[in-house]
Amino acid sequence: MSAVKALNPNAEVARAAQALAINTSAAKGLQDVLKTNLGPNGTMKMLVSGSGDIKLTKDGNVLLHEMQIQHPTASLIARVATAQDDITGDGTTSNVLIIGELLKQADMYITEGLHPRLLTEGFDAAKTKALEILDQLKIKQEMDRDVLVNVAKTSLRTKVHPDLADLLTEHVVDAVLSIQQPKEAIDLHMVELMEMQHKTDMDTSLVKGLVLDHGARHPDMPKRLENAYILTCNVSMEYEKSEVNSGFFYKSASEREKLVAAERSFTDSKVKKIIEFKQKVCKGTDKNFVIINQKGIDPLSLDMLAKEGIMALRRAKRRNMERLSLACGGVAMNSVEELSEDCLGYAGLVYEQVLGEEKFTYVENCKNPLSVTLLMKGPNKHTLTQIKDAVHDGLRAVKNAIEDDAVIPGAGAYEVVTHAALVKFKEQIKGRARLGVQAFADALLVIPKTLAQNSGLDVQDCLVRLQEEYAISGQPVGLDIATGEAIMPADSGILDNYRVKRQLIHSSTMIASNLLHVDEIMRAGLSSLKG
Amino acid sequence: MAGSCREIVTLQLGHYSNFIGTHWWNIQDSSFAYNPNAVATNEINHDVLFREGCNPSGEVTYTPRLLLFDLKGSLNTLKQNGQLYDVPDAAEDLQWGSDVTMHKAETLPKNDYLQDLEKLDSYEVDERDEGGDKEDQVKEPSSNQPPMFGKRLHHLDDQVRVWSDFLRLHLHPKTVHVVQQYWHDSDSEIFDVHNLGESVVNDHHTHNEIEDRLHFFLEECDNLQGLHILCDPGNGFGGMAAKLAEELSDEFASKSIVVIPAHEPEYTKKPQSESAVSLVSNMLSYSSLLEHASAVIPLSVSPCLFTPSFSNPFPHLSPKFNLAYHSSAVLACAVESLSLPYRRLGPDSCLMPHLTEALTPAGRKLLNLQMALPFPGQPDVLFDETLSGLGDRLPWRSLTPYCHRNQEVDGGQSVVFQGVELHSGTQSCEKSLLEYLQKINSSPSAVTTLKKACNVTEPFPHFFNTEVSSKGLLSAVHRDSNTGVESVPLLTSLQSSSGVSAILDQMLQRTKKVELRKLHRCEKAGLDEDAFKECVVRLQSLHEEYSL
Repeated sequence: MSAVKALNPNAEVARAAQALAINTSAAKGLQDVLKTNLGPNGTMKMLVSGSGDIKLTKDGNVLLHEMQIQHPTASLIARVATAQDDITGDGTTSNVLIIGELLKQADMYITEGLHPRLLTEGFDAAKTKALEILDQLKIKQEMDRDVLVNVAKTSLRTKVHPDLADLLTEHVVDAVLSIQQPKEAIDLHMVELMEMQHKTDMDTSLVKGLVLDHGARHPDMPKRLENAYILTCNVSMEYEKSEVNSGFFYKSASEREKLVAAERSFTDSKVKKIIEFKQKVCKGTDKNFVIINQKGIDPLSLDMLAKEGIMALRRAKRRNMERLSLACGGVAMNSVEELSEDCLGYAGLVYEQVLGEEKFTYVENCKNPLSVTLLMKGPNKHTLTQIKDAVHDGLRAVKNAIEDDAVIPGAGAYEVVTHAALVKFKEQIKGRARLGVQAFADALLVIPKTLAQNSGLDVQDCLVRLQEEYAISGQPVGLDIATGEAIMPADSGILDNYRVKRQLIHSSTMIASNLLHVDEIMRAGLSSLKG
Repeated sequence: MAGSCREIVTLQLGHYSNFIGTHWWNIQDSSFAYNPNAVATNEINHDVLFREGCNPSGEVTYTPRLLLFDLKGSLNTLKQNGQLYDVPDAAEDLQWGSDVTMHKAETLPKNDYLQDLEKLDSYEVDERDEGGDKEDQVKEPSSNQPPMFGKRLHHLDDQVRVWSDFLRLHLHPKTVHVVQQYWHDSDSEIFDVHNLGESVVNDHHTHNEIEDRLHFFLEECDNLQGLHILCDPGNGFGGMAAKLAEELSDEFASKSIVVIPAHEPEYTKKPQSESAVSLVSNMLSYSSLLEHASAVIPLSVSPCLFTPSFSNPFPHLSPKFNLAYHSSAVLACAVESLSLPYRRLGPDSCLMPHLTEALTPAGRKLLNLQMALPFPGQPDVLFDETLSGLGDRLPWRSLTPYCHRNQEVDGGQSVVFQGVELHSGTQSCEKSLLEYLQKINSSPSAVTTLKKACNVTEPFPHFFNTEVSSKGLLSAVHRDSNTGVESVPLLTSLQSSSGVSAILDQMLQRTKKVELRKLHRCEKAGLDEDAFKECVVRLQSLHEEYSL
């Protein structure tokens, strides 16, 4: 009789073997759901909601976010797996698979009477060894474009169809390389992701500059300018509210309008200052002038600017202000008093595209842009979402590789090598903890096994072939999902992120150990736990 | 788009706010006159709250300038991106080489009302395809309904579960934002603490998404006058509202931000810990909103917060206030009415910043609202007689918790009356009202009157007593139960009074009993004791300003 029962007769309690069974079945259940996702040949999932909203995905992370997971253990595992994605950008599916497999293997030994504590001791030892092997396996070489392309391709091929994956691969690598600044951490926020519901996914492109999703709001403004100065500023060019407002109760509407008119001159003078400045810097040259303002510009001010041939965009997003400076150069101005040529940016081409009710302004041909835009296109919303998810992962993969300065051979090679090493390592462990090492080693094999299974290959056949090949050659070999033969992943360009694997080993071991230690689950009325 | 249009962008945060919002947009949609001849009689400038757009098929659309937030699973049959902008016949073009599995949730059934609306939609399309003469194509005016929509009255009381069950207009695809982290009506992931909302907005992806959507609606406004924010202050949405209000007030310093925290009446006593969490969230939301908004108008049909209350303050209504569908309808009328001074057409309209500044002297940003639903007019009684017949009994009831209808008005009021055409009088309604108000109270009053009464056609709930005629007047002849009320004269007063501080007083009183350390939910959501103490101090100083 559990103590909590005495306090709350309604409490539900599951103990020892029962508790373990609950946890194991949850982990297995989640594993079954995500299993078919793994690898380039996994199953695409199309989710249609009750109201007809469509979501198309193959990303474990996206799927876990979409599912309403009721089971507390499953939701715990899901959270760990999605945390993996937050930290490293990939590896959600693998994480869930390994946790599930660890518990499955452990279950076998525990039903034979092994204490969970001993098992987890084995897990810990195996984890340390596995991380050692990870360090030995990592391929340290210069992260040139080819390597990065391979890393990105390995990640993206598992998310979208191969043609699109190859296209996106080029774009994400070029995007990261352009924003990379020597000796500085890579800030992926400097890659703007812009969605455009137009044409097909294969029209997705990389713009070396910025694409803004708004345009000039005046019919007479130029729609296309070449060789342009860019003035980024945060100056209100609309009528500001008047200071004295007691007129609401007593003054008539027309009197109020007069007050408004008086305020107008203040705004006009600001616009005139900018126009004067434009004339000063552009006069006698073939330069044009573009204003991108974070604050508003009202129709009267727009009109004044249009007459000067100035293209003006208002209400630029805050996050784009920094990007604009990085893309075009120049400094964002907070007042019109100290305008000088130094604070101007430059773009070779600025033009507008109209799609239905939406306008897009391209700021292109910048000199040495340190901020770029990935312009994602697709015929419908769910295609765009899918591309966006994939691009996020691709960008992270490239960034990880650059920061790690190393990559890991993919296609299940790491798991096969580690399995072999752990089986040897087991001999050095005294006592029953070695069973834990064995369980851990076997659990890792779930990755190559699932890869084979998802590709319609014979699982045992493939696995044995890989292990034999590794035993003979001593080289990390991976699975060729097309033929089921062993290949050298590094030569075929299948490369994984070092930190993804590392995080994977860490977090899955930890959560599996924790779940194994649970010997009592109580549910004592959720409402009382809410507070 | 007329040059004189002064746009307003609306934000709705929270499920109850969306109920109110839905009713409100329905009321507005029902008063549209698409007939060009009718434009002359239009009194409301719909362009203020609505935008004209164009969908991928090139059709003109007219949708609210609205961004609304709700949790996952709260939309029922509504598609997140709406239907207006669907690309027709976009062939599903799957290029994935290997297997695709389909996980299709059961298609949710639409209720009768939505089905009828759908029929009506296709009816309109047919008509357009035939290229029929468009000039008398009047879309759903109350008097001339298409036959299949006919006289049928829908009784939606049992059918409405979420707000989209009675939404009669289409929304722009950028309007609905679903908060991905939390589920509607879930036991495990509850969105109950103010701080949870703040962290949702702070999440990088969500923040970008919200910025993109807000930008879409705000950038196109030539002469933005301000923003409306309807929010549920007692849960995570309060935190979202506060955070967004903070950012918006920073970005739009010269615009007016009117925040309407809406409190759903409580019908069952909540467990103590739950109501304590709600109290804490409310306080955090109010203290932050009062700092960043131009005016805050708390609304609820219940006279008090935090404790269940069953009274129905309206003499000619018998609403079921346990249904959000009913209580939100009452509040929607209030929102419609209070916003009329700056939404009306013509030279008498004022600007939202003018109104808010006039009513919030010396930083007293809390306002209270009184409403008479319906205004007790009788068919053959002159307007001034009705008013003088009232004597000292004010016709309205308070919709702001802890305020009463005879509230001392010391900072001015903005009174709106809809339904002038139903009443005749010896002088203009505006003048009679002003005289009446001055008799009762010497504080400055601004009166706005509109000819048309407030539309309460379907899907507005049928909660009017039978003595209310279909035109909204009180008559001795009882209305047939098969006829609905189509419109009602409505009188509201938005007041600036010191009595409104009672709401702060109540909160501060109640915090004394709250031990924050014991509220694990708050702690888990990232609220520390110092931050809460600071909030209490802020509210105290705000409260003191009223007692001077």
